[in-house]
Amino acid sequence: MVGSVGSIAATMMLVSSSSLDDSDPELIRRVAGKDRRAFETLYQRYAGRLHRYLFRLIAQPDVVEEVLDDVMLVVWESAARFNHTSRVSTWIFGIAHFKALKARARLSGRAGEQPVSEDQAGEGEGPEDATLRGELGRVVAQGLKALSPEQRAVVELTFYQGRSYQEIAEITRCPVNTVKTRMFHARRRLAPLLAALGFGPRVASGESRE
Amino acid sequence: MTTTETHHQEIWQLLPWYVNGTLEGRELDAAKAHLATCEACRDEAARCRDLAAAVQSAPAPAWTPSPAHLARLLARIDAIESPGGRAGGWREWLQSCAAALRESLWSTPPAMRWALAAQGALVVVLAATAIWQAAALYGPGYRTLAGSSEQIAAKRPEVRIVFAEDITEREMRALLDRVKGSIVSGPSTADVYTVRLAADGSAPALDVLRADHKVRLAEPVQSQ
Repeated sequence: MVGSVGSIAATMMLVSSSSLDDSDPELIRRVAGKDRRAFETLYQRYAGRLHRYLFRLIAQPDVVEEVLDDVMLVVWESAARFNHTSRVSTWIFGIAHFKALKARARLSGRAGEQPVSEDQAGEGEGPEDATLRGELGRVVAQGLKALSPEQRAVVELTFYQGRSYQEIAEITRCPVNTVKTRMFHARRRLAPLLAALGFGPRVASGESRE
Repeated sequence: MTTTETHHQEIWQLLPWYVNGTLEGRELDAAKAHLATCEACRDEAARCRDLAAAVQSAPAPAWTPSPAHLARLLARIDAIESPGGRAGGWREWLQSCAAALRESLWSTPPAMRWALAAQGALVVVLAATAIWQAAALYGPGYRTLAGSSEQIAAKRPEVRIVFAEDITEREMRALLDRVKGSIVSGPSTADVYTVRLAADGSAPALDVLRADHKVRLAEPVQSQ
C-alpha cells in the first residue's frame, strides 16, 4: 500500500494542473451532477483528514474506515442538496461528526476502546522532537480519551483541524456558547496532564507577546 | 470590577481560538488588548499552545487513502446508482407522486377537486400502462423488474482493477487478453481501471486477475 501513495500524489498533481477550477464548491457542484472524477478528487482531499477526525471520536480503527465510507457516500448522495452558504469542509465534517457519534452509540455495547500501538503512531517530524512530543502526545491521547466525545471533538477541531468556534458550532450542531463550555471543561481536565509533564506557563513564560 | 472580570472571562474562553489563529475582527483586537495587560491570560494562552502541540502529536494510526479503499467505495456507489440498486426506488417515487397530488388537491377549491382527482387517476393509469409496455418492449433489461441488474451484470461483467505501479503496457495487455477483458474507463485519479470481461466466466477471470502479482485489487462492479 505504501508504494501506491507516490502514485496517488503524482496523479493528484496531474489532476490539479489539468483541471482549472477544482475548488471545493466547484467539485461539489460536479459531484451533484454525478461526476465520479470530481468525487475522487474530493476523496483524495478529505479522506485523510476525515479518517483522523473519525478516529479521534470513534477510537476503533476497524470501524473508522467503514464510517469514512458512509460519510463519503452521504457526500455523493446529498451533494445536490448542499446549499453553498457554509464552507464545503464544514459541511463534510458536520456529516462526519454526526456519523461518528452514531457509530459510537451503536458500538457502546462493545468492548472498550483499543489502545493505539506505538508503531501506529506515525507523525513525520525530526527525531529530536519525536521523543518529547511522543511522550507528550501519548499522555494527551490518554487524556483525550477521558473526555466526552463532544469535548474531544471541540479540542480536535480547534487544535488539529484549526477551526473557528463558529465553524465548530456548525459542525457539531450546537450553539457557540456550548462549544466554548465544552472547551472550557476540556482545558480544565487536560491542564494537569500538561503541568505534570513540565509544560504550561512555567516553560512558556519566556515566550514573546503578540 | 465585575465588568472587567466578565471581560477577562470572555477573553479567557476565546484563547484557544486566539491561539489557532481563527479569531477575527473585534474579538481579535479585544483579545490582543487584554493579553497585553493580563498575565493570567498570557499564561493560559501559552498553555493552549502546548495543548495544541500535544494534540497535534497525539498518536493516530498512519492512514492514507489507498486506491483499494477508493475502489471499494466506488463499488458501493455503483451499487447505489445501478438500476434497482436502491430497494424501493419505485415505491418511493410513487409515494412522492401521491403526496404531491394530495397536497395540490387540498389547496384547490372543493368543486374542482373531484375533476382533478379523476384526471389525476387517469394520468396515473396511463403512465402505469406506458411503463408496463416499455417493460415488455425492452425485456428483462428494463429497470422495473427486480433482479434485472444481476442479469445485466451476468451478461457483461465489469471489474475494477488497480494494477501494480510497475506493470508495463505489454503485461497489462497480455493480462487483459487472458481474461478477455477490455478497458471501459480509467485510469481514474486513483489509478482505478474499469474493465469489461467476456460475456461468460467472470469468476475464473476474477481468479486469474487476483492471482496475478501485478494486480493490487480486482473487485466486481455492482456486486456487494
